[in-house]
Amino acid sequence: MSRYSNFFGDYHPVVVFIYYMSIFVLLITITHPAFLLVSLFVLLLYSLLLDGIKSLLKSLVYMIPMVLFIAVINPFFNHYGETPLFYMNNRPVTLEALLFGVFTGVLIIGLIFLFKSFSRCIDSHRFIYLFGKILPTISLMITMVMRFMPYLKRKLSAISQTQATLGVSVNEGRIKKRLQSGANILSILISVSLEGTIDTADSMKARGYQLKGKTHYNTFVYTSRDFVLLVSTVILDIFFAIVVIRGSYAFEFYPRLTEVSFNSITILILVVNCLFMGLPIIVNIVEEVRWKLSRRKI
Amino acid sequence: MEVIKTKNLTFQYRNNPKSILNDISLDIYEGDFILLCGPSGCGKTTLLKHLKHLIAPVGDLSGDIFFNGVNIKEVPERSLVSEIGFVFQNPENQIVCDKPFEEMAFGLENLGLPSNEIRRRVAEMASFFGIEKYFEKDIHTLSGGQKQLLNLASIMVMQPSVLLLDEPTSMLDPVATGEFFSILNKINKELGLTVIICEHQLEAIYPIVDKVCYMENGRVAAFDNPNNVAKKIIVSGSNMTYALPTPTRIFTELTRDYIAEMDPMSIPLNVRDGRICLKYYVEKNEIGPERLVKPGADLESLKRKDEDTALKAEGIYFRYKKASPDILKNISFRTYRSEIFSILGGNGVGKTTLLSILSGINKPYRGKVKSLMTDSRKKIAYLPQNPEIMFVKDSIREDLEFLAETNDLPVSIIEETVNKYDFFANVPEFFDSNPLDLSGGEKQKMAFLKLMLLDPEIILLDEPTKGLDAFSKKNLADILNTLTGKGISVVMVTHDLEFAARHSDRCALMFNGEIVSVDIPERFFSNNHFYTTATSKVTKRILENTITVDDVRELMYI
Repeated sequence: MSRYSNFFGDYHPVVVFIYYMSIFVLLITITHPAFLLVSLFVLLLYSLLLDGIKSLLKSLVYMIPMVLFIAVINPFFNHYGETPLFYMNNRPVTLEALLFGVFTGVLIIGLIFLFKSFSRCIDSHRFIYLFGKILPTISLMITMVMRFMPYLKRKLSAISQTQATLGVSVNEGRIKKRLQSGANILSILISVSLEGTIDTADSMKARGYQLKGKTHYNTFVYTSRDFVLLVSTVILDIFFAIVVIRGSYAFEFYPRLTEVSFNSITILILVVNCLFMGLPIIVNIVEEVRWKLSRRKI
Repeated sequence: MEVIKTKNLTFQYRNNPKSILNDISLDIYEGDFILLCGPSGCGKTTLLKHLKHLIAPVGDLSGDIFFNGVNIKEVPERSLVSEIGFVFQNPENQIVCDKPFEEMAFGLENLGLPSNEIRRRVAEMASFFGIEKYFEKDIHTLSGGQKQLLNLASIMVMQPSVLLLDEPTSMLDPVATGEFFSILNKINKELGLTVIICEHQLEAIYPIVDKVCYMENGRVAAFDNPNNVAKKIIVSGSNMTYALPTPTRIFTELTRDYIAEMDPMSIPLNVRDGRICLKYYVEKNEIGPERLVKPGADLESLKRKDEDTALKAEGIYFRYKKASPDILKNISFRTYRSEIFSILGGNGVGKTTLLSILSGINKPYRGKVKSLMTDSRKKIAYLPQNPEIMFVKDSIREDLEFLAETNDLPVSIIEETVNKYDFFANVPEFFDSNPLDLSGGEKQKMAFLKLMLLDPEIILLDEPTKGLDAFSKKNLADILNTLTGKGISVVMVTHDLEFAARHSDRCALMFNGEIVSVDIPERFFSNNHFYTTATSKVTKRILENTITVDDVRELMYI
């Protein structure tokens, strides 16, 4: 279980951001099961390379029940589709709706993993670099949230431990009491943390957050390799735009599932998709090999 | 010309008829190192925030502040940001980013400096402050001292000409405090910056400043060199006397009958001068050798019987994760009824972890904690470092009632407990306040009230004196003494050597997860050379067995 360093995150943040936006748009526009499955596979592979099998399995344990839940819930609320499986209260529960539920669940997992790998590449500093100018308030909020996560976690454990000694605990007593205790603990957490943010706001003001004309420390210089990545992203974007416009990969769930057929074009699209989604993996492998070679020359 | 000049500054919060600042006129010159001190609520922090105009509290302000001769309201925002640096009290809350290098660049980015310039300045300051070691670490993994140095560095990169600091070391341990002040002194002496610092713990800062501004009730009571102000405070007999450096207080004890006529410049402020004065006093008054030794405590009479044991730890081992190293190793000790047991030691030696074991929050993987008074865990009460996390409701009254309800106690117990102890006499006046609005000392007292409702037999305290002023510390000592008088056993973890020396019955030194020595304070502190109280440092090899100012007084006035 080796842990690769994430070379993809070293690219210029603007380029990396454009890449991830493209993938995001692609994932939600092309509603083809084969396409989604291939994408999910590549995203999981990337997560496996970055965080190892243990972390991947751990997140899947949480996610699979979610997919099942959405898959089961959807057909009960959504009665479109032509293939009834059985009837409930005189309303059909259809195969199409069931499959659409599964599809949505898998899509959500894909998006979660996409966001995970995104956050591995765009840390808070890069995020502010990207959005500090356009969305000053939102980027401010996001920095604070990112910084506060570890503190909240630590404070929460301090609070719940202390409160447990005072008889307020989520692990003891009847359900009602536990819920009440939980609510109380959360409310202290919020008020104690809010107290701290007043200082943070003052400290930001004192150091000129409100001034106009900010600059950025890490210049994130454009290099030739950023240009290569950008051009590849744009070319692939155009390719998939054509795919979408021509409808070569359209898929409908309702009223009846579109028939899935594989021909040279659809296979080509899948392969290109693998390449596109797999760019971070390819970059990481190339850089890893490059590094190993550079060691060998010494 | 003055760098900062305030003229008849008066300020009050709206809806509050009392003025926080009252007619304050100060002239501060370039390169001054000024200490702002005074009892809690004297307005020192408010004044400091007004000097950094951008974060001035909202309210009615009259009078003027001039920065380099220009009214501060007309100084462009940009130069207010860079020219006047402000370091806040809480090391954590003022940090904005999640990596030290980002944090240091934050101000410069806002000022719009070119990237190369930022890179150069950040590099320069990081090496000056020794931050390279953790330059790219996550900030939440740093210690409090490292965080506060980082905050200072993040201000220094903007190359300010004035540095304002609001009790920057009140959350730090003595070692980190010393480090912080020495770098602050270096900044003042080597770079010529004007430094204005608020503090209530004067021991370490008092000897290194040029001037002291002593405030009382929103007025400047004295603004002069440290010696003159010290004399003024001593002669006035105010509570601030307890906050003065120990050598000064020992000197005050020795000369208490004629200090009013003394030349202020002869008042010692640091250990070296304190020793010279003490030696001179002993020689001049021809004090015989028998009066230089405080009779040692009678160890036999201090021996406690086994049946008085309150808490017994037997060979405790603890680690947080299976694969991580032991945090606690083979810890065995016992505490007795009516005893204050202090656990001392540097940062990260496992003191707080030990408390969590004693309170039952964490379980040791080997060894046992036995509470011999009763077998109920509720009889052990725990007061955390920040008492504010003990309160769940918006008012003290609701909070106390809620506590009674959760523990199936009648509401009348609140009144009973308040009446039982003298020091709770003034608490009912706070019953309608929000716990978070109270001062540190008041919060702590309310926290004690909460604990006492549960009628504990053992109380565990984590850094109870952190961030408290001299007056609140005295209150805390009163509370602890009353409680032990009623048979309660108190175990506290602390960095505050003076407090431990004065008030504990026994002290334990923790190092590297082990308890390396347990002794009565007298022998504990007089045997240590570095890890000891200031009194012990002043009197070492002149007097014997003296570890607190009270000891010196007793010895000299038998």
